[in-house]
Amino acid sequence: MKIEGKTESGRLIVAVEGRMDAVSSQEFDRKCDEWLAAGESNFILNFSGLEYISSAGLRSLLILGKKLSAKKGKVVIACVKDVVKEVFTISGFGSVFAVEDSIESAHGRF
Amino acid sequence: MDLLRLPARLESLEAFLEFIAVRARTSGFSILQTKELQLAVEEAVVNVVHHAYPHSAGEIEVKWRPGAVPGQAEIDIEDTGIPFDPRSAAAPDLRAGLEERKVGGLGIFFIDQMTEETIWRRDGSKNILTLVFAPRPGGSAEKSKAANPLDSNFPLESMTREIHRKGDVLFRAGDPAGKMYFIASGSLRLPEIDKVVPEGEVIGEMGLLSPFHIRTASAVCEEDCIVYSIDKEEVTRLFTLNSELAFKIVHLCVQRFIENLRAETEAKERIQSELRIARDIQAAMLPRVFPPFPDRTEFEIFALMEPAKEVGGDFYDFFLIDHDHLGVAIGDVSGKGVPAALFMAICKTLLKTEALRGLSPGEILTRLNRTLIAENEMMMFVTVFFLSLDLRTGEIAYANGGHPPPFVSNGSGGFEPLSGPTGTFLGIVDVCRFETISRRLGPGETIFLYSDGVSEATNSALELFAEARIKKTLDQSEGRTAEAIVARMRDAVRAFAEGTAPSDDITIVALTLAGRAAATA
Repeated sequence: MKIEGKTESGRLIVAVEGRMDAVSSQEFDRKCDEWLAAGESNFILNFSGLEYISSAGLRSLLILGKKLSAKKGKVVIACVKDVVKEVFTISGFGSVFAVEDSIESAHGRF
Repeated sequence: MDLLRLPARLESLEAFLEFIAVRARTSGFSILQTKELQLAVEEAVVNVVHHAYPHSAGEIEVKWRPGAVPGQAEIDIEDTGIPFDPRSAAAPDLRAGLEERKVGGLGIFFIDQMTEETIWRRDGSKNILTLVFAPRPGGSAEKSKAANPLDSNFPLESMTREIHRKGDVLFRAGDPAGKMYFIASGSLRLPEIDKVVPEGEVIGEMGLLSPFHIRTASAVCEEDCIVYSIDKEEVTRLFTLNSELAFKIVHLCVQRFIENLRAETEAKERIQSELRIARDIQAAMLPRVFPPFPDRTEFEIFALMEPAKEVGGDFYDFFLIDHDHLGVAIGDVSGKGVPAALFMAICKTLLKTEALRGLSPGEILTRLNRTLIAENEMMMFVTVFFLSLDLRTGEIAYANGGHPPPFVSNGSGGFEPLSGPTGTFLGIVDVCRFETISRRLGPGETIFLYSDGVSEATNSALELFAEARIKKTLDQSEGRTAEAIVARMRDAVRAFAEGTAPSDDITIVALTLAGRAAATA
């Protein structure tokens, strides 16, 4: 899994590529904690390169969401596809998170 | 028994997921379905890792059992830890929002969602969770058949797992063919044919089965790859044990042959269509608007050139040198096809350039010859006949560079070959001079130029059309328009050839002086 963040219009765009499973999600947690500690509070998760997400990955997203909520921040998820989209649908995470089709429309959710 | 046993730690997860992915892809599951399988297996494995061995280390065993048809499978996840039925966990609240949503509970939920059936049982000291998979309609947009060329279980137990880094060369073109490979993850590139072979495909089987046992292309890893290889001896052994697999590998090879053939045919067709375009371009180079000078009533002219292949080496040309002189040329480049066509273009252009200087035909050919010799690395040669007609008087001056002499009206209703030296062809030898001959054409008289594709046309009895038939056809065309003369000659040659393909380009030009009422064709 590759995870990279860059700031755009005051929000942190986090591009996650590869797979978020029980092992790699720990790395995701770690990087997000670093960004949170650095003061970031508005995240856009770019999942256009995310190929796979298991319950461990969803757990990481949920934890991130709860932490941001406590800081009055927000996370929007963009560009889910394939099995990731399927997982979001069946798990109901579409109602937990704001999910958008593109980075541009994700910006619009802030 | 197809199983993998590893310590019950998170570090083992990757290996378990790959174990499942490889079997799923070779059993007819699409990429999406394979990920669904992996999701279910991950949840089951992670459950065991977190809960089964609270006080000690233990192991997990994952077993793969293919189903009766592609797209079906059963997977057992076994552990010897504390009795634990994963289905007993509470279901998640799917409608909860961020605040209310609990972090746990999704594992078994995913397992249920991705499987046809989930069975748990306790057997002695073992927990056995069985996941039953069947393809769900609409579960994937991909063709799972394309994912598995063999469409049956691959004998992975008999194969060797190899890890390769990006850039590794699996085999080179020209190497003796040794192994066949299944790409479990990653992709390979075949640089000679610029083709990328993706995950899930088989490569190298042609080398094992082709008569020459030599690799026809190289294979390079586009990215880090995991492949399963099997060598010829093992394949031979498998063929005798598993005739169904043998048949399927042969089927795969035949498919590849057909694909390669189709690609080659397409490439050939592309070339053919380029040649057809070239034919049109070449045809457009020769003047083909008739009548070419509608305001000049002193003469009629008509011409055609039909190449034997798509493009040819014959040409004709006519143009007004000045207000009172018409230049007419005919030529034939050695050979046929693209090289002749290119040389023809050069000759025709150079000839016109020289002719427009107003020199005598003999001098024109001499100068043309010198110019062609100077730049003729390919040693091509061309026969050329050129005449200049004085439109006020009917006098023609002409010179011949090795071309069949034209026919001309003989004054008593028939035709005869034009007198004068035939000369020698241009492009090779620097001839001192080409001779200019003159004669007069009377009103209504015709001069008929042709290339040897006409005289050398053959029929099925291998007879030649020959000058005799040309003369006979012309004699019967006396009094007709230039266009009709040309058309009749072309029809006569076609009829003579009885449908056999012409072996040479056919070029015909007829020039008639005005002075008699043009008879109807």
